[in-house]
Amino acid sequence: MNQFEQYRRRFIGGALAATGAVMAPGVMLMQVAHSRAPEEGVSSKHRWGLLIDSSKCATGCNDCVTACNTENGLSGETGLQDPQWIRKIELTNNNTGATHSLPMMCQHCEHPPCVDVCPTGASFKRADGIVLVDRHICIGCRYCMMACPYKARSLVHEDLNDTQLAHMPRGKGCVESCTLCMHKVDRGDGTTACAEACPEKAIVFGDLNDPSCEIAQRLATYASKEVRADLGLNTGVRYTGI
Amino acid sequence: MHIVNRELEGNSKGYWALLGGLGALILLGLFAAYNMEHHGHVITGMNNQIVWGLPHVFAVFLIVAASGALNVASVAGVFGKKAYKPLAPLSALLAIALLIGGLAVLMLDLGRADRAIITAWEVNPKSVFSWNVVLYSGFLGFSAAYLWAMLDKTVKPLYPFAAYGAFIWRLILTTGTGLIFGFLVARQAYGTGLLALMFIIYSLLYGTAVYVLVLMTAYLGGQRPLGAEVMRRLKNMLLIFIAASFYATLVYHLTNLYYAKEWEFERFILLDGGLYTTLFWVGQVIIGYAIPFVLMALPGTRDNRNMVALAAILIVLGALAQMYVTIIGGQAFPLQLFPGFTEKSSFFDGQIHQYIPSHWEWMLGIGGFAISLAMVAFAVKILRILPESLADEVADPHAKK
Amino acid sequence: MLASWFKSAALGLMVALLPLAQAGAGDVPKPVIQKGEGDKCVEDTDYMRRNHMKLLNHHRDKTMHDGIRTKQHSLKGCIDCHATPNASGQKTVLGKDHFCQSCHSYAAVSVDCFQCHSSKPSGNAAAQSIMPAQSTQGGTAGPRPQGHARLPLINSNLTVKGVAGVIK
Repeated sequence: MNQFEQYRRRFIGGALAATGAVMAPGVMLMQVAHSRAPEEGVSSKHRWGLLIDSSKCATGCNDCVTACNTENGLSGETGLQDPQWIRKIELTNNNTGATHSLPMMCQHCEHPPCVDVCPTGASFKRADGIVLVDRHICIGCRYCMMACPYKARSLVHEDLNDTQLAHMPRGKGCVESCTLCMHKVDRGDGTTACAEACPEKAIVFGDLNDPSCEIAQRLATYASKEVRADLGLNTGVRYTGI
Repeated sequence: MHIVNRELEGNSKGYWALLGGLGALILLGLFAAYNMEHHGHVITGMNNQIVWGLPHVFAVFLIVAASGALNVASVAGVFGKKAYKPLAPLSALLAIALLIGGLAVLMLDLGRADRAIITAWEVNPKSVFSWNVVLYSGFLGFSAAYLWAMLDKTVKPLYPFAAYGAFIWRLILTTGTGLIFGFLVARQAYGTGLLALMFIIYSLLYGTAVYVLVLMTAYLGGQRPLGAEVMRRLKNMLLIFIAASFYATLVYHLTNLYYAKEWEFERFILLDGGLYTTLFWVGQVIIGYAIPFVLMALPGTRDNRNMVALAAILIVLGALAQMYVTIIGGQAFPLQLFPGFTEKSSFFDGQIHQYIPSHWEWMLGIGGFAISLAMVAFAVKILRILPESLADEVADPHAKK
Repeated sequence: MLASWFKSAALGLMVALLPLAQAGAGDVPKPVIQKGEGDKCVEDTDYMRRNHMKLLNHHRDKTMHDGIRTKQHSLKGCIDCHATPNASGQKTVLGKDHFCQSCHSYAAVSVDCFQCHSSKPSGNAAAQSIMPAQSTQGGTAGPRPQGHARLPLINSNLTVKGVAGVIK
């Protein structure tokens, strides 16, 4: 590639980015206009989810995990008893040796096994597809942890000694998992901590039900995968590149 | 001869020592529960990989044995075998006591034991656990009614309803217990309705074994005659139940061995799973099935009641090994999120999960056992549960008078 | 918690023994009620004293299950107004003479909100982007102006790199 060609490419790239910078607020504002008022409840018109591009996800990069821990007030310790809401999994194909890296968290299933098994209904799915634990009625039986195919849930094994963040109550003896940053979703941020933090933009947050949303468009265009699709859970988190 | 039930005198030093010992174990169990509540599960060996540990091994054993303990009563009340009638009250009592002991462990192990009562009004109709809340209470109700109908002749009309109700209910109950695991679609050890049937078959063996041990202890301690005929019938029951349990285990593993996707899991349990492989072969199969079967079948030992008692003890040990392999072994094998790939992560994906039970868990589990046994020991002293004599000429309907 | 059962048991024992101790006992000290921020609470003070738990329970279910995050009856709103600095300067509602604990100790009612919820106001629990301007006026009823609260947040996310990702 000669020098001229390089300049040319850089110029086109810059022009595109500038166009994006001008257009993006308009696009974003449209999303804000759609977001609900504080007194309005969540609705099933939306189904929030993530699209994760494993081919962009770098081995050894842990930025999404760190961001999640910071956002939600987790210690980031990785002992046997420490909660982990999101983790990076490194995959090696047993036959070909091909490697992939990807983040794994609650997949926010349409038919979540954790919700089916919960004896009190503490494990529930919000109308907009976010699967949560209502810690007010969670008795800490851990049946949901047995049922989850993704190992997405953790029990809080010890007292957190008032280190919780104001927007993310957590407590000893209750089960917890990724909330899809529901506090951010409710606020209308239109993203999650992990998606914001990814340096490669490998994580895209959006409304699977909204055809104008980037996530829905990408899903409609490219081949994507549900993890353990054989279980028929219709997950809200999808992957490409594996 | 007429059967007369009478309270156990229960004034011997042995009786009070037994009750005192059990009381001490119960206190230790409660102390463990208090500490687990106060400090959280951080003091146990349980973690975010092995979420159900030793307390569940004991609890599920006790609950499964509870439904099986009712077996002797059902043979009398439902199948009309007269020889088992005098044995029935203890059977129903034991069923109640074992269930309460098991439930106590289950409840006290909760992350938020203070909120266990929430399950009474926040009901999820899709949850087996929610069903079990109904099934447990129903079982206690039916068994108590059954016991009442046996002990109080004035409520005789209640008898058939209670007997049949308890029998049907116990089958549903153990179905529910098996399905706690059977409905777990994601884990390779579980996710099959076969577990419901296996648990029913296991329950017959475990419950009857505990029954034999309690009966022998009570008659030895109470210095009441226990005839060879009763022992022969119970021993034969155990033999059949061992064979059935072995068969159920065989079918379960054969099915898995047929599926390529289950090979890794089967290899883990049957070949190279370390503790779990040992517990399966040595604990469940040899100690739990083979040795007791031989002891109770061989002409040299089968008529020796000490050998039957030994066999029953081995069956109980084998049962605990089976529960350990089923519950903890099933969790130790990692979830396969991406079949065909090797997984690695900070959350222990793709590796065999570690679990070392703490002394608190042992204390809680054994405490639950002690609750059950203490209830029985106490009840036989205040209620007319046990016949004064189970000697052959009294208990055997075919005995030459 | 079991611990609280034991506490209640201990309390029962104390109540039983109270007549014995009555002779020497003085009055139980009244709770210290520190004034919160703003002119008045979200409802009548009298009403709040008797019914705050009902409002909180109702609101908690609406927030948890429907994502409704109005501030009027939210626990966060309570804390934001009623937290007062402790010895180390940290604003909190817990601790002797602090708003929640002082009264609850006096009434001998255990409060288990803070087994999970932070006892500190949202502003200084962490340098989070949560409603920076709004957090102190939690007492005012009704929805907050949306556009103003949200636009700055969104703008702050706008980097060339970020937008490039979206456009791509």
